[in-house]
Amino acid sequence: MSTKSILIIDDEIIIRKGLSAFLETYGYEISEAESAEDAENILMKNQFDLAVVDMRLPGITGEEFILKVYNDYPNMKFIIYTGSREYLTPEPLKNTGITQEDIFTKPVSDISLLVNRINTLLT
Amino acid sequence: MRMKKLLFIILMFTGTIITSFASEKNYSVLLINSYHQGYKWTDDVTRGIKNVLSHNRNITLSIEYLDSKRFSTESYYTKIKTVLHHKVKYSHYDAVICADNNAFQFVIDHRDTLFKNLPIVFCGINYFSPKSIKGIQNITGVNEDADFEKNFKLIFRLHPATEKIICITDTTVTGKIVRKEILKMKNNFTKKAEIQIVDNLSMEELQLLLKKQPPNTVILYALFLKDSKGVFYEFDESVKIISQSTNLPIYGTWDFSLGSGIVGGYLTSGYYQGTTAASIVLKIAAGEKADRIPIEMTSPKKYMFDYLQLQKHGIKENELPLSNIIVRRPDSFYEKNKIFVWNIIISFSLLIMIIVALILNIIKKNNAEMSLNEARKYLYDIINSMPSLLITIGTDYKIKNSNNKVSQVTGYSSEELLEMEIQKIIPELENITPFIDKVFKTGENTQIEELKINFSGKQYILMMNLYKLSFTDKDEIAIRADDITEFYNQNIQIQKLQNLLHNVTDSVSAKLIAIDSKMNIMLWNKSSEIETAIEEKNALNKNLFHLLPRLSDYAELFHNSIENSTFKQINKLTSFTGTEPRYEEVKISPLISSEMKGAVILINDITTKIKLDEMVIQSEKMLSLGGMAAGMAHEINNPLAGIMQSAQFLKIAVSPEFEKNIITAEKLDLKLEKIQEYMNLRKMTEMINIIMDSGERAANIVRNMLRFSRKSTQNFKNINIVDLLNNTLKLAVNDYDLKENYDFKKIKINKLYENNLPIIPGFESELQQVFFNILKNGAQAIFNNGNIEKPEISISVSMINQLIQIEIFNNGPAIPEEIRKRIFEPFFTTKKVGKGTGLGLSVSYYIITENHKGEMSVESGMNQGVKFIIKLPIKQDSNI
Repeated sequence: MSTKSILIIDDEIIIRKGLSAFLETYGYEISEAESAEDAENILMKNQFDLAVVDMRLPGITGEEFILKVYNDYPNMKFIIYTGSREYLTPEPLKNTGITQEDIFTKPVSDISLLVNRINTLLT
Repeated sequence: MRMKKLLFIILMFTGTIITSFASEKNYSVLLINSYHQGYKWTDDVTRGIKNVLSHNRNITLSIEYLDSKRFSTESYYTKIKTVLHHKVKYSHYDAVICADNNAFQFVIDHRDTLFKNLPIVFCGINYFSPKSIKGIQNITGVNEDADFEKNFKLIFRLHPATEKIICITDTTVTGKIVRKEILKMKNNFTKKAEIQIVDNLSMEELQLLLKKQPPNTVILYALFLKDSKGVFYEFDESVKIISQSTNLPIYGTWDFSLGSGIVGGYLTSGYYQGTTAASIVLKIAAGEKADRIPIEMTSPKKYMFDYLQLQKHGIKENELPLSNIIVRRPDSFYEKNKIFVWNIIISFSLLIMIIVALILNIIKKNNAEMSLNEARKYLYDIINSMPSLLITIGTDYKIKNSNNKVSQVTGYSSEELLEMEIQKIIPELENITPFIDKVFKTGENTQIEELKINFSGKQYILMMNLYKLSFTDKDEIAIRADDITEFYNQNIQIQKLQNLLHNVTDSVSAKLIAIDSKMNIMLWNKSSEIETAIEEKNALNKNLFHLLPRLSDYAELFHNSIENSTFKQINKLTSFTGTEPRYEEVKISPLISSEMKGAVILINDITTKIKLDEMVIQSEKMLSLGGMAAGMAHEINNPLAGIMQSAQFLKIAVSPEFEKNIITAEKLDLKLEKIQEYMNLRKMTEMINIIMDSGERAANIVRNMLRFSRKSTQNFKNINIVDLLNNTLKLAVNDYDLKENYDFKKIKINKLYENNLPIIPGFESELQQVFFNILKNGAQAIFNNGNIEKPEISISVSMINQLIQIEIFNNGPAIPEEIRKRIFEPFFTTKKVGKGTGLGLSVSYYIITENHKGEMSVESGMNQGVKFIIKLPIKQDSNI
C-alpha cells in the first residue's frame, strides 16, 4: 500500500503544523496550503488523496474551493475542519459525498477521531 | 252580703252615739250663789255660767241663791240647809258650782251631808288659798283677784304726766289683801309718781281728800265697801259717790265698777269667772276628774273701758291696749238699723257684681270675637302664604276649600274651584283617588312621593301629603301638594353624576381609593373590590392600612402627602402571594379641595411590566453578547485548536504504537519506553493532560458562547415535552456527577402533567440542555445551601393561552432579589470559581427566548422555594 497524501488547507500555521505532525505520525504524506489559492497552485503540481479544509479562508472560501476541486478531482476526499460550531453541510457540498461525519469543529477534543475518519475514507 | 254588714256597722255606730247622748242628757248642775238675784256681780257670774253651759243641751242648770248679803244668821243657814237637803233628796245633781266665798264656805261645810261625792267647782273666791280646801276631795275652781301692776302700767300709758296715784281700798278682809298686794309692787312705780294708799277714811274725808289733789293725779279704785265710820256701801255705790266728787280720772280693778264712774282698767270680771267655772264643769261632765283639773289661779281679766269716761278725759281709742271692751258707746245708725243697712249693702253689692259681670262678659265677648277674627286672618295668612298647594276634598273628590296658591297655579278663583272635581283640573289626579279612599277609610296620613303630571304643556313632579281633618266633624281630607320638579331633576342629575363617578372609577383597571385625613376609606373602586374581595360598602370608613396592610410601612408618606398637599409616589411596592412576587406602583395625590383633606390613591399592578422590562434587558444583553461571541469564537477556536492538537500530538509523539516514533527513537539510540518514563517522572505527561483539559474547558466556554450567535439552520422537530422531561429526569438521576454528592435520588420528584398536551416544535437537545440545567441548579441549591428537610422538586406542565407552560419548582433556599435579577446574565454565577461557567442559565434563557421564541422567568419566595417558568409556543414560524 502506497503512502496516502493529504493536503491541509488552513490560514493558521499552528493548525497546519500540529495537524500535519499528527497525521505524519500516522504515516501520511502531508502538504500544507495557507489559502485556497495556494492549494490550487499545489494541486497543479501534485495529486492528493484527501484534503482537510478550513471553511473560513482569506480569498476563496473553503466551500468554493471544495466545489471547484471536486469537479477537477472527483476521487479526492474532503474533511471539513472548521472553527464554526454546529456547522451543517451546505446543500451543494452534499453532492460531493461529504457527510456530517466528515465535519469537525475546532477545537477537536480527540484528534484520533479525525484520524480515524481519514483512515476510513482512504481505505 | 257585704251591704248588709256595712248597714249593720252603721246602725251599731249611730246607736252608740245615741246612747252616749242619752247618758249626757241627764247631766245636772247645781249653781249656788252667795248673793241674790239682781246683784250685779252674781248676775254676771250666772250669765257667764249659763252662756257656756247652754252650748250643751244635755246639761241642765239649777240655781240657788243664799242671799247672804241680807240674811246671814245661823238659823237662816239651818233653814237653807233643810231646803237644799230636800231638793238634793228628790232631784239628782251631777256637779255643784259655788260662786263667791259664802256659797263656797256653805258647800265645804255641808259637803258630806248635802253633796257627798259630787264634784265641786268654785269661783269668785277672792285671793283663794289652797289651804282652804285641804282634805277635800273632788274639788277645783277659779281664783279671783285683782291685777294692780297692769293697772298701774295702764294709768302711766294713758296718762303719761301722772305725778300721783291714789289707791282706794277698805279694811274688809279683801280690802286688807288689796292693800298688801299694792304695797308688794308699789316700789316699781314710785320713781314715776307718788303712790298713796287710802283705806281708813270716811266717805266724807275721802271726798275732801280727792278734792285737794293736784291735777296730774289719778285714782285707782279697788274696793270701798265699808268706811271708817262703819257705813257699808254697795259694790257700785261708793264709786258713784267718789266719781261725782272729783274730776280726776278713776281706774278700777273689778268690772262691777264700770259704768259707775271709772274710766276703765284691767278688770276682774264676774262674767268671766262664770265662764271659766262652767268650762271646768264641761270637762268634768266629759269624764275628767275634778281633782285632776288644776285650779285656775290667774283669775280671768279684760281691758274694759267706759266710752263716756274716755270722751270725758280725752283718751283716744287707738291709745288703748288691744283687745279691749268698750261699754256705754252710744249706738250708731248702723247699730240701730243693722239688718236694714246690711240688706241695702248686700243688695247693692249683688247688683254691682251682676253689672260688672255683665260688662266683663261683653268685653270678653268682644275680645273673643276680635281675637277670633284675628286668628282667622292669621290662619288664612299662613295657609295662603304657603308655597304648597293646599286643598280639602270630600268623599266625592270635590274641592271644599283651597288656598291662594291653587288659584295662582290653576288660574281658577277659589270660588270657581269650590265643588270642582280634582280630576277635572288635572286628569292625572285620577291616580290618587285610591289613596284618598284609603285615607278616608283608615284615617291614616299618606304620602305620594312622586306624581308626574302634565300641566299647560310642561311636566311637573308633585309630592303629595294626604291627611284626614281631625279637629272638625267635617268628613274631608286635606291634600298638600308640593312641586318637587326641580328637586327631582337635581336628584336625577346627582344620581347621574354618582353613576358617572362610579362608572369612571370602576373602569380604572388600577385600584382607585380615596381616603380622608384620618386614613379612612371614602371611595373604593371595582378593582379594589376584586383584589381584596371587600365590597365598597364594607370598606367605607375603614382604615386604609387595615384593608391594605402592605401600605402600612408607608403610613408616614400618606400623612405627609395629605398634610403638605404634595404628590407622593411609591415606585415599586413588593409583596408576595406565595412564591409569586407582586410589584405595585402607588401614587398618592392629595385632594386639592380646601373643604376636605384627604387623598386619592392609585395603585397600579406593575408586575408584568417589571417582568417584561427584565426580559427586555436580558434579551438585549444576550443579543449584544451574541454578536460579540460570534466574532470571538472563531478567533479563540483556532488557537485553542492549535493548543489541543499540539498537546495531543505530544502524547502520541512518544507512543510506541507508531512506527514513525520507533524509527525516530532508534535513529537517536533512544528507547521510547525510557522517554515515556522520563516524561512521566518529570510530570510532562500530566502537564500535557492539563493542557488538554484546560483547552477542553476553554473550548466548552466558546461552544456555549457560540450558541448566542447561532443562526438556526436546523429545522424544528416535533417534541413531546412530557417525554423529554422524563428523559431528562432519568439523565439527571443516572448521570449526575456523584462526586459532588448531589444525590438526586434523595429528592422527591412531583410530576403534574396535564393530559393531552400537544406536540410542540423545538430543538430536542437544546431543550434537554435547558431542563437539565434547571434540575442541576435546583439540586445544587437544595444540597449546598442549608438543610432542607424534605427536598422536593415539582414539575408541572400545562397549556395556558396557546403556550406550553413548564414550571420547575424546588424547595431550596430563596434567591435574593439582586441575584434573581441577574440570574440569566452570562458569566453570572454564585458558585465558586471553577465550579460553573456562569453560562448555563443564560444559555438556557437564550435557547428558550431566541431559539424557541418562548419565555423564561424565575420566581422566588421570601425564604424558600424557587420556581422556573418556561413558556413555549405550540407553533413556530418555520422561516425563523
